[in-house]
Amino acid sequence: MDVLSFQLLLNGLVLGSGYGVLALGFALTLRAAGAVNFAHGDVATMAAYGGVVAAAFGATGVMAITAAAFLGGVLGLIVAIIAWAPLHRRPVEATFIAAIALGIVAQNSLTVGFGGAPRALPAIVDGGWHIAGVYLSAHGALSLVVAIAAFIGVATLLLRTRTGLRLRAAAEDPEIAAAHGLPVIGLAIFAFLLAGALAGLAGAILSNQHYVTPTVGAIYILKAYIAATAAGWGRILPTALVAVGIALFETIGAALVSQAAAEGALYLAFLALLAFRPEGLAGDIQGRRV
Amino acid sequence: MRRAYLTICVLFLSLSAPAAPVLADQVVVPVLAPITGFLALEGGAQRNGAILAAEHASKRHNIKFQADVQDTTTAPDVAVSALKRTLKNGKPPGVLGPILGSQMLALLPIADQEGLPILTISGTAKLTELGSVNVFRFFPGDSVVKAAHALFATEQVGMKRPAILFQTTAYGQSGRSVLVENLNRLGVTPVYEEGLSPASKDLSAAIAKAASAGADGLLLHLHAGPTALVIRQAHELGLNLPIVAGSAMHQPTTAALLEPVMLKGVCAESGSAPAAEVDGPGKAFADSYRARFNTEPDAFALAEYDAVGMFAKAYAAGSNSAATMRAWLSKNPYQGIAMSYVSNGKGDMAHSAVIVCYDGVSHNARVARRFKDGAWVN
Repeated sequence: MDVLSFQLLLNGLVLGSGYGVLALGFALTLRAAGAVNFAHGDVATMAAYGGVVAAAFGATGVMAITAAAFLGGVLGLIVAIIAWAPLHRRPVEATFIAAIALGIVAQNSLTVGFGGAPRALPAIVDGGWHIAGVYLSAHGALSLVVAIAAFIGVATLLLRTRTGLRLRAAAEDPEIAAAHGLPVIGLAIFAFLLAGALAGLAGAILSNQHYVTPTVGAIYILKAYIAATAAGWGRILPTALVAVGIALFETIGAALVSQAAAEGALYLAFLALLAFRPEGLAGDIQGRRV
Repeated sequence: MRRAYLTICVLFLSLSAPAAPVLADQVVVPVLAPITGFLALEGGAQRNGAILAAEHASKRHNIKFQADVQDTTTAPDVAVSALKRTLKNGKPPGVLGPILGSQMLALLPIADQEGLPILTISGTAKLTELGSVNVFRFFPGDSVVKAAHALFATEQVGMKRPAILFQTTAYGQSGRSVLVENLNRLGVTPVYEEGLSPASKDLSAAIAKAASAGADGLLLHLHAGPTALVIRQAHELGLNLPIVAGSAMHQPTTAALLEPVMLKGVCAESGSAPAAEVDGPGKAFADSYRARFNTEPDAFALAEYDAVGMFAKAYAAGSNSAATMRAWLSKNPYQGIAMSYVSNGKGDMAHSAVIVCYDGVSHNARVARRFKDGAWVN
């Protein structure tokens, strides 16, 4: 592998760390609450702006990212309370529209409050390394570490804890779970909160090197949705891994052909996957998709 | 929960309600601008420039001008609806159109049908090539700024084998096409060109391919975020290639995304650069803009300011109908803050540009060259 290829691989992984954490949260609400949270990208964006505000008041990179994750959790809670809890027994489209509406309100509020100029969050840690012609920023390296920690944390929560077992049980059959005394609504709202925190974390990671604008959430949600569909509806960790794959595809594909062609190829590959394996790469856990 | 919904609905309706009707003794200056959406930065500058100009013109001419700003977002049909709403209140002497070229192209047939002058700061070349007598462009079009862009890159920076990275949008393709024409006229052929989506989050592959093609410099025609991303990633790749960027790079908000060291060797074309002016009317405008809006001005704000200034001068001179306004704008010169404006017969009013450069130790740009009517003037 030559230096350029290795550099692109590294850049793709750093970008993928943000996409992966974002998709992790999206899939979590999908799995635990059965909800397609179309406001997830806008939660990431709004939380990133929270980090920008924290930085303007002197917060360091670590503090700004922590603030973004915290704000993301609060926003996830708000989405659950406004756009999911009162509507989850209605036709499924009601929650979609409510989430989309909240997202648009968030975008326009950010535009009015901050203007349309791109903003950057401070790096987790400044600086970087040039090693044998390849550059890795300290922020990029730590983004990878944070993403891996988030993957392991969510996997542990879902697979190794009683809360995770309850979340999965409530998602797979809410009525039976409720009959056994599980607080189904509370568990789903907890999933929104956790997913919001992950969105905030992702928004903050991405907003240092790739900037944040009020409308960037629409791009984020598209990537997360594709990852969730390609991985298998409700498959949490495969969704995160596919999101990393999307970032690698974008970065390396752009080198092989062109950036525009790589983007086109990504969607063609997605269409082909839907045609030949509609249940997704890891299989459809929910048995239903949108 | 119902109460919460009701509160949200009331809040939303209060935010989206039409502006309060203006008094009869006010002259309403309709301003259509993309306040929300991906061009909100430029739309916000347009709005601020119009508001400030209306305030200043009111004092200058002793007539109360009121900028009535309507959000066009970034969809052509929304701009059309905004113009039709404006016309419902009676035909004004003129309208300040949105900066977005695709919206302006959608508005032109209505303007021609109504005989309504539209003053715009959109740079899209096609606008003044359609034969409309109602379009007046106050921002130098691609034919002006890309001539300066190409000339500076080849003559001043010494690029012989530039690579061009441009946006895949109509804005990007229009600028790229005129830039290549100007380079060819100067005997230079780009060694590499690539169109980039504004949504793309990693541009290192395009930069690396440009370097591999033997480029001795990068010419950018990108929006603000992608411009900053290319400059950051080119720096991180250690390429040390000189960069001459499009007008997005003259905006202080774009420079703020980068470390000063990343800006070393970076220059940019623009219609003007009020934040970089150190004296004269440009500096006075920048100071009053900062005081009024607590933010840095850019060329779009200043162009809109000058457009409203010329509108107000025409009105004060008796052009209070669409026909008389069109005639006045077509025939008279106007000394604005950014430059002097006069129609070339097609509606192109602006014929000057500047090149700004960064020194690599601060975020502040300085004006390196001024360009007028196809040549450097300093």
